Amino acid sequence: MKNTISNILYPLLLLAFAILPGCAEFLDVKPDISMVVPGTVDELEALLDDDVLRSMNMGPGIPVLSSDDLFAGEGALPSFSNLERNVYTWQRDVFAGQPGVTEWNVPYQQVFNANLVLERIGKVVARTAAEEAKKNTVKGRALFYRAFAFHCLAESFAAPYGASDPASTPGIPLRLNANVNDLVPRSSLRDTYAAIISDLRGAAELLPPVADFRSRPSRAAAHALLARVYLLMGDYASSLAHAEKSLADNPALLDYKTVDGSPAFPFSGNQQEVLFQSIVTAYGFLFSNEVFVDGGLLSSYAEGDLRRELFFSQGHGGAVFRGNYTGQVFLFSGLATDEVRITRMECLVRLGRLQEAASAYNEFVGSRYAAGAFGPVSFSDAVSALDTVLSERRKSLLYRGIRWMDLRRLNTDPVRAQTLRRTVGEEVFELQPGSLRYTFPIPDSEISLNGLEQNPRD
Amino acid sequence: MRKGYLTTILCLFLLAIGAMAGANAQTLEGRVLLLPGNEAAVGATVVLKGSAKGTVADMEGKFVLALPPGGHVLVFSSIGYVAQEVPVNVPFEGSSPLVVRLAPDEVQLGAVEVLSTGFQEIPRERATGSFVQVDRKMVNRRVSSNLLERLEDVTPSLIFNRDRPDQANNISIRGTATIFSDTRPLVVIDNFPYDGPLENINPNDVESVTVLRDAAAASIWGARAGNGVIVITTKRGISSKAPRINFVSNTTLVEERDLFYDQNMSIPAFIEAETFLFNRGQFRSRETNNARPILSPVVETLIQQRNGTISAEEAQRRIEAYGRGDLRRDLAEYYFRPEFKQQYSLGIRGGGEVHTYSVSAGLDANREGVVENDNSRLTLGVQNGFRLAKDRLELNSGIYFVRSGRSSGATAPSSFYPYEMLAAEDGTHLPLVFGYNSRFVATAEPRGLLNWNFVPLDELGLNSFTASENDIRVNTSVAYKIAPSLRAEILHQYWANGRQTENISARESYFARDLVNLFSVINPDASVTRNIPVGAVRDFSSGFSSANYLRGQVHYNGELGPRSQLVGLFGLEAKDLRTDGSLSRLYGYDPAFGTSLPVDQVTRFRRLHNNSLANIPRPDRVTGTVSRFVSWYANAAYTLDRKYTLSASVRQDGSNIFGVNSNQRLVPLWSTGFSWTPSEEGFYGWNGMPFLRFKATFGYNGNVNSSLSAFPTAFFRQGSMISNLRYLALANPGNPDLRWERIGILNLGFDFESKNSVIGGNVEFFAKNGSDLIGTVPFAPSSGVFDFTGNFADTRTLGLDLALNAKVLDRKLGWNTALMFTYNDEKVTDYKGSFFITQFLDYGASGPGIAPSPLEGYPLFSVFSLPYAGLDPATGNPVGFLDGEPSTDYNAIIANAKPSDLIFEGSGRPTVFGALRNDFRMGRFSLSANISYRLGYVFRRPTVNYTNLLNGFTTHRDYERRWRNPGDELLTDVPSLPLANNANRETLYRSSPVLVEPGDHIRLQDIRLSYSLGSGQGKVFRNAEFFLYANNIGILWKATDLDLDPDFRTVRPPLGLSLGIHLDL
Repeated sequence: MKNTISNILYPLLLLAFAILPGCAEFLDVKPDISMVVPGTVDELEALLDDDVLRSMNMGPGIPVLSSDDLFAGEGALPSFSNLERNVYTWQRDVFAGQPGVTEWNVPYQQVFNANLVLERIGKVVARTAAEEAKKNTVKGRALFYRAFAFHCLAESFAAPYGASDPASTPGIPLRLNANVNDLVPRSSLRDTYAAIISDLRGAAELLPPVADFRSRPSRAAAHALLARVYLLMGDYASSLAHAEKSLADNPALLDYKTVDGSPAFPFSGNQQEVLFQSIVTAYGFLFSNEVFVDGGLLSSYAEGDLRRELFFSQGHGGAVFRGNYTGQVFLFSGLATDEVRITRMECLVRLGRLQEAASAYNEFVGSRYAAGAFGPVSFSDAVSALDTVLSERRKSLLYRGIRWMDLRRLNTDPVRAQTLRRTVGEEVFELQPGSLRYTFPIPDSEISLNGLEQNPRD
Repeated sequence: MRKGYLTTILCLFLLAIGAMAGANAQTLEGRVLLLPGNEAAVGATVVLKGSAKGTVADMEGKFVLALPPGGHVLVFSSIGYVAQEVPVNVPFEGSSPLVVRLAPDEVQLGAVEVLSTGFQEIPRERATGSFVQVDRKMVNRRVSSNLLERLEDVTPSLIFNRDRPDQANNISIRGTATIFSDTRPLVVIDNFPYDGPLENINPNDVESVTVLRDAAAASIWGARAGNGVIVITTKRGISSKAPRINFVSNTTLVEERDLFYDQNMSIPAFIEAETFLFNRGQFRSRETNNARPILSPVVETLIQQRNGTISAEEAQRRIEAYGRGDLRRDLAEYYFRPEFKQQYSLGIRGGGEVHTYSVSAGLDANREGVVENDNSRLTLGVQNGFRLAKDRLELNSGIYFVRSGRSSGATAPSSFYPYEMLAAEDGTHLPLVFGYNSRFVATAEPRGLLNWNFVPLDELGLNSFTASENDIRVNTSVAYKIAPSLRAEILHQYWANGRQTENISARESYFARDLVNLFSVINPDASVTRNIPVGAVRDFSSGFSSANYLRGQVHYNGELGPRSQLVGLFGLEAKDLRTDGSLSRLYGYDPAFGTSLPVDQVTRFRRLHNNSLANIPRPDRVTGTVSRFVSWYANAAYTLDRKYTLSASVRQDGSNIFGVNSNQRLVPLWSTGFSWTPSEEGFYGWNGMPFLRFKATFGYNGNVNSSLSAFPTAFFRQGSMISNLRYLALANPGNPDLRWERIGILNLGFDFESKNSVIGGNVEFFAKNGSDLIGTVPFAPSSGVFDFTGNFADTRTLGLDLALNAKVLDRKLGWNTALMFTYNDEKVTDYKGSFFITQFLDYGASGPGIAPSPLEGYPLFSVFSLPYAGLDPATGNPVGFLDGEPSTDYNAIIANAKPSDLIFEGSGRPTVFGALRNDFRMGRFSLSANISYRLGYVFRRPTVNYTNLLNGFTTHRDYERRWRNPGDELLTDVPSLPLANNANRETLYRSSPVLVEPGDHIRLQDIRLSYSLGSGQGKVFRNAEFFLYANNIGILWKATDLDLDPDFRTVRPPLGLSLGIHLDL
């Protein structure tokens, strides 16, 4: 009997140990047909196209709500969420009780996906020239997404570039790999901007001049963002250079005379001026009919300025913005040629090239007016030219978060610094130029889990 | 079927042993029969008292036992029958063979001699592990088409968790030893894990259910046994002269849903609040909001009055009319109805020496509690067993088919303003405010759109939902006896389940009209372009799952010496489960001709209600999953002198969990156990307690979390938002350190039975240590993920299980009592990560469906409060603490609260639970009443939600007790109505200790009264039983003063009455 046992058991045991490692193939089948470990160029590209779950095309909304582009009517305020109310009235503690916030979380999601693509694209062996080209394009896109995210973070959560010594001012954590276990401290503001610029330069080398879809970055978009970043740094020569490169790739200018104002949102998200489509998360205030455009701004549109009609609709007691380059109620946070043109104008003025600036100004503003309503101007005085260009900037680029960046940078210039005021019921809130409240606090979850240095708030 | 194997093998084996035992042994032959019908007591055990010697009766109840000459006492026993001791002399001198008749044991409900683990059947006296057996009688005690429900309160340590009303059939066995992985116990039917819905099992086909609770019992199931295992054995063929026919029929009536159980504010109070808030300007932003949010009929009336479109008198008249309305009355009249369930089952069993069979058919037809909702289930089963080649070869096959269907033509409206009406007094059907505000809806038809009103009573019959499912299970097994003690078998199961659902929303239905309108474009010339054509919308989904299980195993069951016995098992197992599904939608569908119309799903259209851009919904997709397992396992139990048993088992599993390296995919799990039966010892002299046994086991079970992976994984999705591209949604950032969960279980216990079985039962102490448990911890968002799932947690559960059966009276009046008691003390012992304060507070407070956030040192399901200082006497604002000082700076209170500030209120799940069942028998009448108890837990009572109220929705009636004037704080704990919505103020009050209530309660769960015709000469039936059964009778005692069932806080459990008959022919 013992023999029988051993005759049967031992071979079986051997079989067991022989079979199980051999089962690797049987066990290698993937458990879900739609599931992948992203590795091919197409898969990595698809990671960057995820504007749904990982919100690859989303920008910040709180800078818009903090800016003087808008004010909330009495009827709108009760519907504001805690966060909206705190942001709107420049509270010291903005995110109270709310551990995470979109403006911080989403850009780092984008950074993660970009880093994952950058880590894995290097391992792809291209078999054809076409594949090699696509590999480079995808790599360029990943670099652009990372830079765009770092830029959005820096403009919300780090101090304005020119306000203090960039080498000793804290910037943002520059996460350059996809290992979630790494804790990355804040880099200096100088290193933050250097990283953004370096990624964008890399992207500009790899990307095609224009993209096949407006949700995907192009070389024109990379140069456009470089122009914006240099402008924020006060490096007008570099800003100008990149603005011109961007316009060389994509000089599109939409003639507003051709835009039909009858739809609720006259501008398509797919129209020619859009270089890179990015949408702001859906805040409740966007749906309110009582969040109005700033009165001073509204009155600055001259007679015959088509923007007056195309940008605003009659709300419940005031003008409500509708000129989003997204084609819908969501705000535009991407890049467009109008911004590039205006940036170029400003740089030309700042560099004293007034004639070129005037010509650029006339071409651009001419496209914004009704036929015959605009007569070309010439610039003689740099100060008044800058006033004109900056006013044009405000009138064109409102509700995009750009105003907040402009306030931050212009406040360093005592001549252009201004104090913002809001009235809520009996209460009056003020935001002084250079206030520490121009830099949002880093959300509690990041502070407690990563031990970061919090931004001081006054 | 397995019992059959075992019987034969044991018989032959014992015969062989007997033959070897000695030349002077004589054989004693006999037959064991079961009363009242005198059928063969298949599998009855025959044991020589005080020794390990014994045998098992065969298919005809016959046994042969070799005994030395002299006087002996034999003990005859069989499942559910009273054991008998019979003195015999060897050689046997009777004229005919010895015949022993066993009487049914009405008392002995849990004590079954053979336990099934799904791999083998173990005689109870040799099992070291923790098993609970629920026999057919207990399974049939309750009336329900759901088998799991029938286990509640008759199975020690099994509980239905009611803290998460969103999860049906959420059960746990001995607590929860996992956090974020699957918490469901493994369900095994006829030796194989069952992957289909449990609704597909006809409880009338079930012979017995065994629950495996500890490592020694369950570790044979390896990586899926961590939550316990429920082993279901269906009925088998038997050897009998005539076929045995069993017929079951019952009818159940469940009372209509009690809509007035909700605790919302009264309608006049709500209207008053709305009017007040409207006058305060509270609804202005909703009124002008571009997304057209709904506002109540009263607010719309007030708007019209303000705008001057109606007079103040007219407004007053309308509002007064609303004050008299109550939608619950209409819902009760038009939608809800008593449930009516019918169940029929017919089974025939029989066979001879070579072939046995069991055939069954069952039909369930249920009318659900909402009109036009019905479901049905048809089950068919055929089981055949063959014994060939002189009993050396056994073949078994079983085919089980289930067809179930559900149809629904109506859904009761679930969101509405309380005073709305479904029909006017003249019977006209009325619209409900739904989707968009009524001002916007009214503009639809004049603008050329379809009518956009939602009229629930017009919807009846317009939405037809039908689901059908075919489920087939084919079991085949071949066993061959290689030697008397060695048997090899191959088992295979094929399972297939095909299902489809069709949901047609008629062209007149709100669903179809809403879609058409949303995607309509009103052109400048006032014409309307309909991007979705007018017509019905048809959603069709189909799914097919199939699984193959293959198992090869070798059993050893033999004596190693005259006093020692070895039972062992070695096997290999592989599983392959595939599930494929697809979903498709047709627009512009015409059910009469089967035609549909194409739509443009590429262009993004501007939706009419808020001008947002969207594609026409395209749910079409194809899904497919594959789940594979490969395992080997072995176990052995060595018994010496019938007193000592040592057991051990080991199992290793591999699976295709994505991205895990092969070496990590294989997880070894083991267990070991020991038992000692002192009552078999020579020195044992406790006559009052003739049976006493101690047992101790330790080992590991595992648990699977198939959603994780070592590598970053992503799923392809169709249709990105901006450019409509295919994109990859990252599901998991990848965790190279991923390990399987391991649950170490220590079990110590003893079984006992007093003289004449007056009292018997078992007591078990257990400790479960969950280590490497999968947990989700918040990560610094700059990492790119907000939280991360990995092996972050350890838990510890200590507990006690007690089951007692007592024969209180056994005369003309029989009275038996069964008590079940379980104590669970769960604790999270380690958690590598911290949560935000609101996450700890959400469980139990923030509505159903909120999973708890583990905090080290506390039970996983903990209810926490924030320190609270009551109401501010001046304002009625809730006061919390900031840096130890009373404060109403809600933002700062919530932002600065730390886990160490939390007040632990208690477990959200019962820590002590069980049931007390009393069975009375008087002549032909039996009465059984089950009292269940749930103790040692707390819940948060529902209260006012000002966010809802400020948005114009009704809220809890606590509103009427709110603080209004200084001094009210002495009378109430409900805060004042705030001026503006403040989420952190709500959080503070919602998380305050004043809302915590004890959940402890005792409930009279059910009563069953039956009348048995019994058996006798000339009766057509062997037995006929009529019964009446009442379920959910009521709460006998509860610790809270609230008028609320602590376990059913939103819907009161309805009383059910059943009438039924069991016939045995």
